Amino acid sequence: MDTSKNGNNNKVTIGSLLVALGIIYGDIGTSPLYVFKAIIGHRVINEQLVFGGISCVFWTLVFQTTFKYIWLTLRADNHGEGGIFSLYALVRRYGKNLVIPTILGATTLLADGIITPPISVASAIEGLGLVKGLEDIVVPGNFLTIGIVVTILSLLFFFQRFGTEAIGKLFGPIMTVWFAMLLVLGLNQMILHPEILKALNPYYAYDLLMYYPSGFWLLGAVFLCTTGAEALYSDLGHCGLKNIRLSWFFVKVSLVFAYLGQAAWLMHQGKELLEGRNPFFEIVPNWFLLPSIIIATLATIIASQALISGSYTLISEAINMNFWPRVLVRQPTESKGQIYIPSVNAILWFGCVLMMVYFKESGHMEAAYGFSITITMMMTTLLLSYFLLFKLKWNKIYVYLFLLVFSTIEISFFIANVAKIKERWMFLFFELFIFMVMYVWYYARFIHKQFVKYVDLGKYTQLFMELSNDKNIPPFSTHLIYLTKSSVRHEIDEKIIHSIFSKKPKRADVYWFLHINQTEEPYTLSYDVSELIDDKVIKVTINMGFKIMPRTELYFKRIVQDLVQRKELNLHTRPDGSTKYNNEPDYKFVVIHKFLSVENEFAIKDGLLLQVYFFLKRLGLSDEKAFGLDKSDVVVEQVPLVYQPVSNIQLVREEKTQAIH
Amino acid sequence: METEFSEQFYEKYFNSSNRNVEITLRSERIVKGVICGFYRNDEEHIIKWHIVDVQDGLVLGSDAFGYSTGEIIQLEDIQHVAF
Repeated sequence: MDTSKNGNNNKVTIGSLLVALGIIYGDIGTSPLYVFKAIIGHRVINEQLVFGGISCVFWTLVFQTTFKYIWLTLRADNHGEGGIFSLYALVRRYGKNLVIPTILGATTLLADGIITPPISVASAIEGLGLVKGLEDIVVPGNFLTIGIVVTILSLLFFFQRFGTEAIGKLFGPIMTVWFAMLLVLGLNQMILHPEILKALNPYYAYDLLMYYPSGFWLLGAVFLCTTGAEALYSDLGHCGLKNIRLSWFFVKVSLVFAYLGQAAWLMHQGKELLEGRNPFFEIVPNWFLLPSIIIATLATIIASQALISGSYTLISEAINMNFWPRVLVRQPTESKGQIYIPSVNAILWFGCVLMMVYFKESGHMEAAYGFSITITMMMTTLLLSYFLLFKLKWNKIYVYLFLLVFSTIEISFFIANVAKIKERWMFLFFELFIFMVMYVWYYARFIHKQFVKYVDLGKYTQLFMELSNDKNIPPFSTHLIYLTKSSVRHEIDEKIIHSIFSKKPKRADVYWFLHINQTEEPYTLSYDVSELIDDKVIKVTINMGFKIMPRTELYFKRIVQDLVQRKELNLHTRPDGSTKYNNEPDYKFVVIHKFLSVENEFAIKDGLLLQVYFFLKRLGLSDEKAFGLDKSDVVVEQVPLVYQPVSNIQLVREEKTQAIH
Repeated sequence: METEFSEQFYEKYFNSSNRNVEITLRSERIVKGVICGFYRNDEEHIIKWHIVDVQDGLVLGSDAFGYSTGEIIQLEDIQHVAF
């Protein structure tokens, strides 16, 4: 059965290929704007550097992008979905500590979202400086250039709230024009200097890394050509395996031609140094310069858009898998799967603008770019090895070989990127923030869970019957619904029993206990019902995939309708005679908010984790909003959460010594 | 006590009409009462039991102020169970 989001997304049509081109290749597709500029930098242009550079780029695209991602990683689909959380969901049962690489990979992938948009857009806009008459106006790093980039990025983030349904249809055609442009521009130079093709020989890459002075550290610049590879996997669900693989042929040929064309130009341009020139725009004929800058700018905006949408998806998955506090998630359009997260939008916008203002020009950003994504790739490699071993049942020797080859490649890239550490302290701060949120949220919930007390419902059946039929107690509601953490049929949280029976008991005709079961499959949406007391106490488990929006109230309504239609439930009406005005039964949800009680005493680490957890919880969305409970009456109760009651109290009564006269 | 045994104990206890239980701890101390709740870890294994004296609040396992009555016993501290 096809359980992917869109059963047709693996069909290959012209339309689906265009969608793939528009969504997933923005990042990797705009790399030719800055890769060669970064490789050459201020170095003397010679054959060893240029041939070695192009050879490294080509073989990186072959190994890292084509072999690891296109051929291998895309096989790790979780019911059609890709990305690091989908991969984690597939392999988490095989390794206890896989949560750390998952958090690290997701953190760095998200951090990439604050540098890819500014570096891409800045690279394109800086090209305007080559247009006749604009040489002295658009200068990399000047106020105007920074202003244009910040304005474009700000507008891009501002329009996120309206969705991209309308303009999204243009993404594919624009990116097709972009890749066609890369291909033609590159080919034009290659025809003039066909000898550049010999640079594809891997010997030149070896020669550069081994014998060029500080050649190994050039890997930091080479890596920029493959930074978008992770997006291929993250967007698997949007485009489908066949579409990605087929469109990659066209994209790869275009990219290789664009890099070869720049290399050919470098070998024949006649100057020793680059002197601030961008090889990409240098291979563009003068008459086509302005149109090429416009196309490049559009391509970089599309690349940024894809990254922003990818960040929303990542956080949405993180929320559903309990890696991130519940925050407001909107659906700006009717398009399935399109979401908008205001808080993530604000964080990314702030980060992108800060990066632009701090680094000022794309050349400076190149130093900070690449570090994060090398970590994501290393983490994907680790998780993928579990997938190959346990899911695809590969021979251990092949898995070790895979690990050895790609660990060597990625650790080399990582070391080369770490060397630029002084350039990206701000970046580290951002990554640390995201990592801490994910780490705290996951592990504090882990600790929290061990202190949630459950009770056996069987013990309370008689009490439920008595309370429900006790006419001396005023009715609280016809249907009373609680959310429970217990997945076991006849168990619920003790706090719920407290809420129903202690102090003022809550009399209802039907007591419902809803449990949301997060499944490892992305789009599951099913339920099962257990009637513990006929028509009186009902436990419902809703199985929800990690890509499904938790609209509990809507799902609950459908379940009730379904049960009534099947004649399994008598739809109780209000006992007070008010049904003659409106025959709908009344529902009341009780949401129990927990807070950390002052009664607790913790070890320093646990205490800190829980304090931060409850702080983040206050900043996030309330449970009633997070679970989509806003139509019915919702009663919120505050309950202290006592993890470890203080036991050693020595309270002494002071005896009065003087009598009162 | 092993975590697997904890599940067997759970099944037997809650299927039994006799709710009184006598737990011998590794420290040789004996705790008597009824089980009014339990705690699970991330793998859904029961790791702690809440036991209260029969005479105490059986319904909620807490007093009028909301403080827990009885005792919470860690699974690994249990040596022997009889009921």
